[in-house]
Formats: sequence, C-alpha cells, structure tokens
Amino acid sequence: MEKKTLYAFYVFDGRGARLYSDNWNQKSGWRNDDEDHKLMYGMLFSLNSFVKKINPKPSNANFHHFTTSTYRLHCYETPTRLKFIMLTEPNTDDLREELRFIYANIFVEYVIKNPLYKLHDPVESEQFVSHLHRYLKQKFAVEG
Amino acid sequence: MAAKHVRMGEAALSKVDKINSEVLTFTYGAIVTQLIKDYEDIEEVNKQLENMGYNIGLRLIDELIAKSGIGRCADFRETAEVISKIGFKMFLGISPAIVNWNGEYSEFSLLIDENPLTEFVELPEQYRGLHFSNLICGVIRGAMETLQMKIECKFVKDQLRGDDTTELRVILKEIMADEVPVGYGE
Repeated sequence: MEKKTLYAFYVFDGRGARLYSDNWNQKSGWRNDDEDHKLMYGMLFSLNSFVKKINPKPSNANFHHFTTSTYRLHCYETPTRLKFIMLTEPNTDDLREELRFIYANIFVEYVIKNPLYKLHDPVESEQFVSHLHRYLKQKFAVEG
Repeated sequence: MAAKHVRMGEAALSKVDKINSEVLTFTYGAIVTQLIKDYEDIEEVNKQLENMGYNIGLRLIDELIAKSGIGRCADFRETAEVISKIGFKMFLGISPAIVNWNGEYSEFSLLIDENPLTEFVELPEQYRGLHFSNLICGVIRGAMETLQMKIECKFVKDQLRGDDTTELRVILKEIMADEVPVGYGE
C-alpha cells in the first residue's frame, strides 16, 4: 500500500501547552509559532466542546478527524488530556491507532517515564524524537 | 464489569517489567528512614511521602493507561474498580477490596491485607504517628488529579499501628472542569 503524505505532527497537553511539533511539506502562511499553536489548540478545544454539547447521549465523545479539500486533521485525546494530532493528505484512513501507538509506546516510554522531564514543558528528548521519526517514516511519506 | 477490570489488570501486569520485591521494600524503607532523619518530625515525614507519591502519580497514570488500554471511567464506582484491579495490580501486585461506600458513591475504602511495602516493618513506639506507606495516598491523588478529579486519600486504619486491617479512605472532592485556553471566551 502506498504511504500517505504526512504534513505535521503535534502534541499538546491538557493546559494547551505545545509539548512537541514537527512539520513537513508545508507551503502556507502557517508559521508554526506560539501564536499558531494557540490558534490550533483553541480550535480543537472549541470543536471538542461543541462535539460534546450536541452529543445526543451524555458521554465523553471526542471528535476524531475533520477533512478539507487539501488535508485531514486527526486528533487522539488520552484520558489524561494529552492531544496527539496529525495533518495528512485528505484521503487517509482513521489514524487513532497510530496516534495511540505513539502515545503508549513512544511518548509514555521516552518522555513521561523520564524522571528528569518536567511535566508540561516542551519535549527535547533525543530518544523520543528519534523513535518518533523512525515510526513516522515507516508509516508515512515524510519529505523535506 | 469487575471481571473485565480483573482481566485488564492481569494483562497489564504481564506487560510490565518486574523487580525483586526486596529491592522495592528496601529502597522504600531507605527513603522513609532518610526522611525521618532529615525532618525529625513524623508529621512532616508523612507530608513529604505524600508529596513524593503525588509526583509519581502524575506520571504513573499515563503508564497505566498506555499498558492497560483503558478509556475514561463512566463513574466513580468504575474508578474505584480501576484503582484496585488495574492500578494496584500493575504496580504492587495486589487488588485491595473496595468497601464502605457512602450513600452518594463519592467515598470508598480500600482494604490492603498484604502491603508489599511493609513486609518487614514493625513500628517502634516513637514512630506511632508515622503513616509508613503514605506515598500510596499521594500516588492516588496525583493520578486522579491528572484525570481532573480532586480527591483526598488517607490511611484511616493501619495494621502497623495495631489495627485489625489497613484501610485507605478515598474521598472525591470535586471534578475539575476543562481548563480553558488562555485568551479564550473573554
């Protein structure tokens, strides 16, 4: 199967702090700075509270992805409110499994379990980045 | 429901690395005795142990979720099941009984009959006020706070102090609302 193109990957915590971000092949006005991250988190926050509000059954339903003509944004939120986000080309399948894999097998292992990592700080672990990149390259077309 | 959590707890336990239990009890014992030396005040030692546990709990909860695959709990009764059948099981190899619910299902007790931390411990008279395993209370508080539940957790009975059982009381104080992003909705 042909690998889908990955444009960006983000991790936010429950307070809206950006813990990690990476992007590839982006040719827009998105600067990927603090201001842009705040916008993205605000959008996800609103979308999630809206999704919950119109939910016909009371539960903790979250949205999983939305699609535009040029990309699809995938979101996986853990019960601990960490948000794992990917931007891919639009015709990509659901990526919750992949995002959960990154959370459980890479993020928890190399970030959360490192006693010297201060919670809510940006992630600088080389181990995390190298394991993450290896996994992403194996699953997606990541260029540039 | 209970059976499901027992299975999940056992599956999670099989995935994690194990250590020799003496290494755990001796390391924990060394920490407690060092704290007693450093603080010379038993109440302060209890507080420090709780605080250390809290910092552990903030992280441990992600390990629990990652290894067990559990989602958000439907209610506090399920939370109690998960704490006992998955949390305690994964990290200490035991499943305390859940007893003494209050009418609103916001308070329960955990009965710990075999506490691996206190396997070789006998409390001398001058340390009567010590909650030797107070770290556990902190772990539960930290873990719950990450899940937006403010709880209070304390030892109400302790075999080390001559009680017939060891009882941990867990009290749900508040479910915290989602933190609103800065500059949002003003």
